[in-house]
Amino acid sequence: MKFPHSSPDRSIIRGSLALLSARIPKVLSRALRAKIAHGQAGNSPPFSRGGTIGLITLLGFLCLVLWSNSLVAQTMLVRPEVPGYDPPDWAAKVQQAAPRSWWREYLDVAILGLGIAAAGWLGLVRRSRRGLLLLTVASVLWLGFWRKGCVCPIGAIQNVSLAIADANYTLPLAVALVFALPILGTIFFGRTFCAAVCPLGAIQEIVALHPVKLPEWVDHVFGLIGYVYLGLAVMFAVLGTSFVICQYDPFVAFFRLGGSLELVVVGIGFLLAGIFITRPYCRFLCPLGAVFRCISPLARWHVRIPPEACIQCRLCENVCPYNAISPPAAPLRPSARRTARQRFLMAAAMVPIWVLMGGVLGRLVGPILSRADARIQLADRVWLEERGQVEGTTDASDAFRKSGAHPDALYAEAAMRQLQYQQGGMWLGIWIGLVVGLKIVQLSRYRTRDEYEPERSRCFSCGRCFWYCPVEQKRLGLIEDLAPYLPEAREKSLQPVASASDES
Amino acid sequence: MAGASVPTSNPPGAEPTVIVSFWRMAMRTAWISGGFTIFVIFLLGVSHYLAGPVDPANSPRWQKLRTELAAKPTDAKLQEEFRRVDWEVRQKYFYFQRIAQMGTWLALIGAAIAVAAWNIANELRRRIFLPVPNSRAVNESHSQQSVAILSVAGLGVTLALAAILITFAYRPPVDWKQFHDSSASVGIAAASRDVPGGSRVPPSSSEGMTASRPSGAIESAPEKAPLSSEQERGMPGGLSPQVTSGTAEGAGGVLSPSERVSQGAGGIPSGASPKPAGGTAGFTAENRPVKFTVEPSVFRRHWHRFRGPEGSGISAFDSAPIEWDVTTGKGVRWKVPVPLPGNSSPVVWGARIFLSGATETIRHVYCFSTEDGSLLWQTEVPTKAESPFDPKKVAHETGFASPTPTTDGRRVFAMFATGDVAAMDFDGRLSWVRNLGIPDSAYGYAASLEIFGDRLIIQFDQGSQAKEGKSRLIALDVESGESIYEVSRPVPNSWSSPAVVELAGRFQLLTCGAPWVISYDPASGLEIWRAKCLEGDVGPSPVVADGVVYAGNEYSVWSAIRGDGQGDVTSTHILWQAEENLPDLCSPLATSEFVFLLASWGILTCYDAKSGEKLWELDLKASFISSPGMAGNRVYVIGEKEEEQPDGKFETFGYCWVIEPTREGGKILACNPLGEGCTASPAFQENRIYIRGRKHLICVGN
Repeated sequence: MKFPHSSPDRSIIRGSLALLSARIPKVLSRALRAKIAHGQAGNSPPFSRGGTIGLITLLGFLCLVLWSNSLVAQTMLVRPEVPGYDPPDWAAKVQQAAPRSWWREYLDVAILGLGIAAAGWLGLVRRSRRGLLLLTVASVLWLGFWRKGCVCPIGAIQNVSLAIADANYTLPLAVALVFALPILGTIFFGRTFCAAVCPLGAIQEIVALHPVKLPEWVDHVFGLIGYVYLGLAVMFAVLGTSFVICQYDPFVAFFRLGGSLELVVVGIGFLLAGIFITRPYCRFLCPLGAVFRCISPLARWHVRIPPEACIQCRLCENVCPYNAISPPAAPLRPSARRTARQRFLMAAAMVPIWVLMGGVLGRLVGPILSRADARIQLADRVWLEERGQVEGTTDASDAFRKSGAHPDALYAEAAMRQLQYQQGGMWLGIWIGLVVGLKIVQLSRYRTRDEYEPERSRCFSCGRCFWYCPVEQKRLGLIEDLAPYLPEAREKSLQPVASASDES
Repeated sequence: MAGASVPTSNPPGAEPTVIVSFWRMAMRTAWISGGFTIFVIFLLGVSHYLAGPVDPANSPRWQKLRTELAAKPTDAKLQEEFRRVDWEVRQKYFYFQRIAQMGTWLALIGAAIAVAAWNIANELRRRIFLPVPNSRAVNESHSQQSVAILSVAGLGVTLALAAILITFAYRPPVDWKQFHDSSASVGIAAASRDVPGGSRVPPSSSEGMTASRPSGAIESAPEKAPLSSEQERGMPGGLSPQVTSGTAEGAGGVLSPSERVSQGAGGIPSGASPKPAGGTAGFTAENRPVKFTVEPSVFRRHWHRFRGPEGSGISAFDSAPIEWDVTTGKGVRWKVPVPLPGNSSPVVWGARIFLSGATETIRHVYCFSTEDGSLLWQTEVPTKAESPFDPKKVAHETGFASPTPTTDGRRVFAMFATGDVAAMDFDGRLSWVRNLGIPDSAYGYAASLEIFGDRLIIQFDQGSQAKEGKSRLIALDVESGESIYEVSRPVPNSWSSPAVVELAGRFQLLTCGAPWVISYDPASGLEIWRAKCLEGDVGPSPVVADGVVYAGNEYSVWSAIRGDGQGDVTSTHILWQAEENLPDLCSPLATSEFVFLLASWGILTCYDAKSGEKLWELDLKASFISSPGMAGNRVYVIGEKEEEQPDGKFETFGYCWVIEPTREGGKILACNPLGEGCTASPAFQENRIYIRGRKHLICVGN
């Protein structure tokens, strides 16, 4: 095994030729091989573990989101529906996109379907990280900047929810397909849609310049926000409040090169955070990602780290910034197994309690959520004005009075709407309780593994890990012998272990 | 820049020098373009902070001048100053918009280069991590699992505590719970009743809900009390709406609920259950508030129904082309064929034009693009008629698609001579279809549709005599097609279209059918006033200007009626009447100064709106079915002439006269050939007119 040294005087020309002839993988691979062979591979991870910097970034980012959300909430949710109140077109509750001939709509659907198929092929068959990256760029350009983020399966959740809840709402077939195709793709190939097709994920993937690895619990805890957001979005869609996912899409301002200052700030925040915390929106907020996390473990086919049997070299152990690589796990000793089983049963028994608690609390919080409803806001305002509890009037209340409508009818409607929110809040609480309970059950489950595997619910199928796997290098013909990559301590690390309680 | 240390080129095991060179190049590119991007963003931020785009309407100078101008509206100097400042702030606003857009592009390009270069650098300098043997790896995994479980449980508990805290700490401005907690026995009207002190108090749980509470969205103000009391007495032939009922007692004595169902009615929605009214089951909708998906004011910008907003025929835009020639293509933007015939007029919403067409057997709704006239979709409407339709009963001139469609900005609604009403979304997918029964109309059904919030209003006048009791005013739920109210009308068949207008400080639904002009509350279907001034077959639709309703027809009189009445206003509110050159089919145009009547045989007559004095008339020597329109100070009338062809046959051609009216006379500015006959009324939008000829849809203007 001899590394082909390049003399400095000829290196530029040869190197350029190598790059031009797309031999760079080979050159890099030889470098990798030489490092391993000469024992020069350091024990520093491929990117910072960066728990501290990552957490600081995450917390700063959350503060930014909270601050901006309060601003955005004022500007975007408060738009009462009042006869005679003439809002600007962009603020109208019902916006009609410009006419788009049917074949263009289905062209969008076809492109989306092709993108998902291509991502599946590149990830699972070709195992090409580079191909996935190119597809990522194409997605950002086409689905993001060209189609302005409008071919959006994430937002389609709301259309589908509304269509299910309201028989009079006609769900366009194209929207139904936009929603269904990524789900079908996930059922068959895992989250390849997230990997390279979703423009929101794609733009974050591109800016992930200096990934840091967050502690695993952060992923588990903050990952639940996506489920909460999903529940809220469905509830608001079903109740006809608004399509919050679309209103709070942090990247749409980029794709459309314009938007409210607050959303631009939030978007920049996401991208800046995304330099370190890879895909913060996908991991912690995306409602469709929450759905995919449930579906992906059932995928018919899924990307694997090694193309063949894992040699347990551990080179991939820390290359996934999503904490989505599960190490081998040996069977537990009988005593530890008993403890684990007890923990699992206790977690399962707690699920109804979580659900009940969620339902009760959600019912209490529902009326508070109803404050997002434009009609209730208007009713509040008119009520307060009529009693002199606030000074002056607003455009909305003026317009309401000008319409000739009687406040009693408005109050009746507000009361009825609040009841609906109370019920909606109860279901939302049940959902959150169920999610928390089942998450604990899932975490309490102990699974044995023989090799390093992608953790399917969290794996975005981005293909980062391929390059680090010597088995993959061998498959590509870049190396011949796997022997140098076999760790001496392999056998030792796989001994059956006792649980932490046993050890203590 | 952690992790960006320069790789060495020491063999063995080091990267080849070329990689190092490229890595350096990529890193420098990334830093330079990244710095450039940050610089651009900084400049954008500074520019926004120092003199960023202030909404012109929020500019202090602009607001100050506007206030001053409001105090002195006739001050010419102030007007000039205001115009100048307005122009300046708008200039500044759009200048910063341009700068921001350019800056955004620059920042985006810089960021894209930086990101690409950094990614390349990362690719060139990928580090390998060969971890040291770690026998505790699995144990660590276990402990991480425990931490994760505790964290998730902690999150659950935190959310629960937050919910409890919010519930107890947050005090909403108004707790609507007080209403629905006692809703089983307490009405909202009681909840907000007036007390002698002038303040309003919350409800008490002991008060019962009464059927007579005035909780209609609009029909509930105290001043309408007399009308309500009369309704409750159910006076036949009086002011009470003779609602369709389950009994045959009402003067209207009409369809039973089962008949309604048999004719395809979707039943009575919960919010509009029949209400007892003096022993006759009513079918109005006082208790169901109107839901506005699109505010009424938004409709003014579109041409959403027959003759546009309020059915006035007057464009919100002053600009409309004056001269064009469809035969040569001069001034014509596009011209496209319409597959099926029909007399319905085009309606326009945003970039879509809707139109209906039908034959004896097929009914279509079309959507054309305003840009190039391309047919975006066409939807066939299936018939739901349960009794056989005899096409011979429809006059050839009326055709099967005379009612003009309407739209609420979300769906489009169309009706046909078969009595089929259909709703479809903006993509042409049918939402619902309903048949109201085969209309018993002497020449075929022709009244166009009107929309008011979530109510699709149909003036379903039929029968040769009023006493047959077949005529109804129907409001359908736009979402489901179910009846919200159905009110019997004491009129025989008519061909006039209803119009919802703002009149006397409220919305009124005006209808014409011999012998009554009747105004209804469009929300509930309750009658407001009526005037007896029509006779015979009524075709023209009513219009409103300056609080006065203008209605009439040939063989009767033309009346100007004040719109602030209650009850029978025949003897109290008719301001003037005219009898000369009255229209048979064409609806009038009314402004605060003039009323224009267009007789079918070609005479355009101008009356003084205030006095009813005839000012002038103009013989256009053509026949007219299309109703006139107005844009700016110009009247547009479309008529047809028979012209002899070289082969000796006569063919019908349409012309559009553009007339500038003054008190002294009407000056014909242009007579524009349409190249084919035309019976539909034009639709106006900014700088454009959409005209449906007998075969084509034509867009005139830019």
